Amino acid sequence: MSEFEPNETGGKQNPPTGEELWREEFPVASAEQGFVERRQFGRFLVLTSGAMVAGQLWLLGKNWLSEVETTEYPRKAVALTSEIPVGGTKVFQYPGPSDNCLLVHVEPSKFVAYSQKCTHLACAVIYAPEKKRLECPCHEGYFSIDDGHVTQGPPPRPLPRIELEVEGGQIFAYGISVFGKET
Amino acid sequence: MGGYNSPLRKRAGRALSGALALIVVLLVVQIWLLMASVESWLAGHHEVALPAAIISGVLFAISVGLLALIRKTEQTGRRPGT
Repeated sequence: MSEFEPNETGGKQNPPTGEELWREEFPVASAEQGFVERRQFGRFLVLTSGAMVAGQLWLLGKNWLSEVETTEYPRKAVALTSEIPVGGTKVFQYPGPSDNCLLVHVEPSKFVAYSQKCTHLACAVIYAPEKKRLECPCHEGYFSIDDGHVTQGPPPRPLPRIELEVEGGQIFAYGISVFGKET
Repeated sequence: MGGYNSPLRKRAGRALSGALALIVVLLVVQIWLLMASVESWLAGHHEVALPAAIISGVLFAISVGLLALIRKTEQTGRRPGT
C-alpha cells in the first residue's frame, strides 16, 4: 500500500515535506553521530589520562619498595692492579653477568669504574686518556672521569659509579652509587 | 524537528569541542609529567614521585569532571524541542 493512498479511516495523509522526505530516505542523524563520536573520544582520552596516573602510582610504588628493600651488592674481584697500565682500561661485569662496566687506571694509584652503558641510548662508553673523560661515540656524549657527571652531549644522567677498593694488589667492586647515593 | 540545527545544539557542540580540547591539553601535560618524573627518578631524585603523582591525579580528576560536563551538555543538546 502506498503511503499516499487513503488510510483505514478513509482520510488521506498529507504528503511529506522536503526535510521529512530526505530524513526518511537517509535516516542518519549526523549531529547525533557527532555527539556520540566526541563522547567516545572523550572517554578514550580520560582513560589514557587514567593510565598516566597509573604510571605515576607505579613509580611511587617502586619508590616505596626501593626504600623498604635495600639492595645488597656482592664483593667481587675484578682485576689485578698490575694488569692495567696507567691510561688503560678493562671491561668487567658487575653486579650481573650482563652489566658491563669499565675500569680505568687514571693515575698511578687511582682506579675508577663506571657502568659502560651510556645513559642516553645505552651505547658503550670508551675512555679517552688524552682528554681524561669517558666518551660515548654514538652521539658524542661526554662524562667526567672524576665523578661520572655529564660534561657535554645528550645523556640526561651521570654514569653509575662502581665502588672499588684495592686490597693486596687486587681490585674489588663492592657497590654502585648514583649521584653519590648508595643504591 | 528543528533540533538538528538549533542554536542551542550548535552551542552544545562548541562546548563539547572546547571541553575535548581542554582534556587533550591536560593529557599532554600528564604525558610530559610522567616522562619528566621517570627521568628524574632514574637520575636518583626519588622525591619527585609523590608530588608528580598528586598533580597527575588532580589533572585526571579535572578530565573526569570535563567528561561529566560533556555528557551533561550532550543530554541538553538531545533534549526534545531544542
